[in-house]
Amino acid sequence: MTTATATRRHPLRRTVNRGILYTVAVVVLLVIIVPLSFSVLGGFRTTGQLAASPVGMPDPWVFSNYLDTLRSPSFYGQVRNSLVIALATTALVLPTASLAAFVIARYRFRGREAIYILFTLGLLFPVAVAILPLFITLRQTGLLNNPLGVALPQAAFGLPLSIVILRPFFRSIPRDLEDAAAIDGCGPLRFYWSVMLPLSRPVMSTIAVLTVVGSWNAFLLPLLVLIQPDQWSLPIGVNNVSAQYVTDYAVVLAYTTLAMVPALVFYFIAQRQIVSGLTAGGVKG
Amino acid sequence: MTTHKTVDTKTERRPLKGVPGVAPWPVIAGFLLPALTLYTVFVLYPITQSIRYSGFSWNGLEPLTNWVGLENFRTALADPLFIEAIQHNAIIAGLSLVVQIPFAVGLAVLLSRNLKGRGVFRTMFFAPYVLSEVVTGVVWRQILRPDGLIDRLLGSVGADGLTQEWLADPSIVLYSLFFVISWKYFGFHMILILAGLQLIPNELEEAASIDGASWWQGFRYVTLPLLGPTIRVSMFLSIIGALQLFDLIWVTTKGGPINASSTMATYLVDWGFRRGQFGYASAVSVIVFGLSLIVALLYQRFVLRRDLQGALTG
Amino acid sequence: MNRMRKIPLVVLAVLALILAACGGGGSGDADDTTTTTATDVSETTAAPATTAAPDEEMEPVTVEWWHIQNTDPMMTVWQTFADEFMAANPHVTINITVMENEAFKAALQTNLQAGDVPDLFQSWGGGGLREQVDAGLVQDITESSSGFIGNLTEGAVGLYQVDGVQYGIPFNLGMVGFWYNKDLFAQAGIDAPPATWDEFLEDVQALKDAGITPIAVGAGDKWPAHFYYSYLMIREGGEAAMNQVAGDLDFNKPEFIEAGNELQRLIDLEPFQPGFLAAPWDAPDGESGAIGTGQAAISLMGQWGPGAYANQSGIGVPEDPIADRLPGEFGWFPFPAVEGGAGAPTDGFGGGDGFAVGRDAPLEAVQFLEYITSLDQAIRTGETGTTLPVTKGAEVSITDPYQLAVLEGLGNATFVQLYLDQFFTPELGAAVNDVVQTLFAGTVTPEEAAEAITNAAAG
Repeated sequence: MTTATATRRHPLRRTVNRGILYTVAVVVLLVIIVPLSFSVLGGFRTTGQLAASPVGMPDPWVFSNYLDTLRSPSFYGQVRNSLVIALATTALVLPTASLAAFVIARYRFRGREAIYILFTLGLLFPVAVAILPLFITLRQTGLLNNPLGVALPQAAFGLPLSIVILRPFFRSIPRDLEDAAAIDGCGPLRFYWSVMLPLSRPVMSTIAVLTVVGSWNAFLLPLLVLIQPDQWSLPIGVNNVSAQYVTDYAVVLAYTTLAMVPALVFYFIAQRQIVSGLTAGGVKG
Repeated sequence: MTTHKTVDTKTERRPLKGVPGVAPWPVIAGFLLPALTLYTVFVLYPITQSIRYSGFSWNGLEPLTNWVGLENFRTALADPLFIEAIQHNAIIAGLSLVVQIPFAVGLAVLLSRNLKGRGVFRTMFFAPYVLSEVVTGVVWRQILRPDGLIDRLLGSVGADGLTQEWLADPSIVLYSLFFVISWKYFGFHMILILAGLQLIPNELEEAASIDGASWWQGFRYVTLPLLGPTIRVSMFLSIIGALQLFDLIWVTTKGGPINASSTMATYLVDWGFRRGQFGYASAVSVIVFGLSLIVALLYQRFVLRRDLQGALTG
Repeated sequence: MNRMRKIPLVVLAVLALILAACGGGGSGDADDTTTTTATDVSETTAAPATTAAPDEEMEPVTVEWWHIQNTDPMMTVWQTFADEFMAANPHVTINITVMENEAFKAALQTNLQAGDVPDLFQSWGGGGLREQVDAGLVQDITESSSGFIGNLTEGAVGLYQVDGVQYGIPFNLGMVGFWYNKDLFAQAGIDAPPATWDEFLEDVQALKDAGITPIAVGAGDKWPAHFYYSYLMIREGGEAAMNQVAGDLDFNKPEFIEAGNELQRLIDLEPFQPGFLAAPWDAPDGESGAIGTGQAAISLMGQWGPGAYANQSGIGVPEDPIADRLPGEFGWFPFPAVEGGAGAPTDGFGGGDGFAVGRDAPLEAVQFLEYITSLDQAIRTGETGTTLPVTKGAEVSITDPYQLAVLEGLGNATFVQLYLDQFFTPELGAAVNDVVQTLFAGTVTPEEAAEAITNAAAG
């Protein structure tokens, strides 16, 4: 009986609910899209148009802002630098974090908890807090104006989150598997390499994606480490353009829009990894 | 060697899955060494240096000679501007918990339903998260400026009266920035919670619905409790993020006007780079770390304890 | 056993990676070239011969040069000068690093702190230079510059001296004054620029009554706002009070509180553009934007003002003369006299740009400064219309009526006070700017402002 009434009441309520849900989703979507399209369209205006009518379609459409940026070699140089740094950071984080998380998760040894706590404490440290001594360290090691001068500290600061994500994952893998492997004469390294790594691919991809995004967007560290313009990463370029062309916001918006593109393309390719990796028990603990 | 033996017996006594096993110490050390080396050189060493500097009055140029003990800490904690910055961090953290997380939960629940085009929604909602803070700041500065996009949009729907000096009015700027922060980060929390939702078996909600529970009751008494651990992690990351807030604010307002949008990190960088007081700035960084640690420990002690067994804060 | 051999290999591989990255330059000198490529980190031993083979009779040297003229025309001018100098001196390599102002300040601080001093870098003189002198980071060039320093105006040269010792060379010196839109003044029925502060306040009110935003100020950047406070301090206290405060750092003086009161009178008229508290100096939503689009009438700014307004106006093309690109006819008047103040109406407030010489810079760095400030080159910088060269005789290059007005003001100046945020240490300078912003926001009284600055100086 109850089910019957419930179903009878459903159709109308469902339509209304559905309407509300869609309205909410579409409103949020607009809030996301409007600023982005403002930037995209702004690049097609002149600064004068931007000041006079920031809303609506550009009239007439101006292509020079985008074309100029796309013709400037420094833009591609910055894309390349950002790419190198992001790849280097990821290449450093993945092996180091997974090796450490692996033994912390699966082996008992003296100081294990202490080491784990030591790593997790790093979560509480933004790079900004230690930037000055870090800078001196980088100088002493000759890493200034070197992509590694950004990649190595970024990897180091990326270790805590990576280890925190990886440890519970490694833990969740049944011990029988390791016992079986041990019987087959498979030591920890073999076990790590041929069992754990293949199993952890989704989680590792998530960490890779988060690392690449973090590195791609990093600002303060590259600002201080990469002083030579030919070493600049994209955010430094954007910041410089927005300071250099203060008078020409249309150029700034064109540059900014183009700077978004690689990140968004990467995201659309990798989004499946992000969602599935986080679902695979990653951050959930 | 003896330690290994005792550990061994322990392991044998508790043959649960995933219980730590044993390995020769050179193996353990070998696995840990790369991460520890990296971490020590680029995180721990600079941090200990910060702690050392915090005891000096130092403009960053001359040799470290002027030892002042705890003076820097006293000055910082007595500076109303620093206290104000802490309050701003707290406001952002509080708003994140009260507004941003529930919003993310709501959208996650919405998108977990069988909604047409939810893939598109999900993808777009997360998109701002991958944009850099610099890009976000540059674009939003343009949108929020006087007579900018927001004011024009309000004007075009006849709501001129609602226009504000979004970034220039000291009593509004922090909330404008909170909106931008939420714009950028809610997608991340939404995805986390969406992931958590997918782990909840559908049968539970269906069972509740068959028992005559309304959708709200099902959500309130079945879904939400099961989502608890995920939400608490989300909240934790949100709080820590709010305490460390820097890039977005720096690019958008530099903490102004009249420090109305300052945070501990902008205060720190302001004193370190603009005023060149590195000893003092180091003391501030130690305080920032200390506060983060206290918050983390409290959160761990009272909120996370049930779920995480020390996964985040030991 | 098998695995025991393998593991150290992995460890070694990772360690090697880290060490390779960290290797080299453990104790590199400050004059090493920071332009080394990603792989080139080995500059420990074998002389500074990393760049070129020493086949010339002269030992090759490299000059690291950091400047902040990151927009044209000056960016290109500097590059041209460097190319010319290198062509004439084949053993010299000049590495230019161009940075945006704020990025420069952060990068310079960290580099100086790490002991990595560029050979030539942007300097405004004042308290910042003094700190660098105290830390032994800059070079005494009294001797090496003695051959040409007499060609430069004394006032400008003096800014780069600390206790009578020369540490840098100026190339640009200007002064702050009021730029105003004559058309808007006419609309408000004002026919002549004000000569006294009271007249100025009346004109502000007249503009307001005519529905015109009287003043644009980029109080978000803080320093444009500090011009007002500083000028009133100079007018109230005069040269004597300014020299005294330089020593005792005590702002709790009647004349400075009076300066705050006068500023308060202006602020109470609510003369500024909407959103002025967050407005930067140079942006469409900033001070230059409001003036350039004719939305506001008055701007207190240095010699670079008209160029910036013109860039914001959207009128004409950049090649046109500045006057043709402004929204109306513009003029310049000095900061008006303040009745009862000890300062003369001809006392000025300004500053300039120059290059400090790093402690390990080669002699060629100073020779390069000689080259860029030589008369011919100074005229070329002056012709850009963005620089007021300090080389005697280079005034002939100034043809722009606006620059000429500033030049005349400078010529009449009985005393020129350096920008306060550069005159004092960076810490105190920042405090002055911060406090001025709170004055503009109306959250402190003039007494509290003077008190706050004094406390900052003491703390």
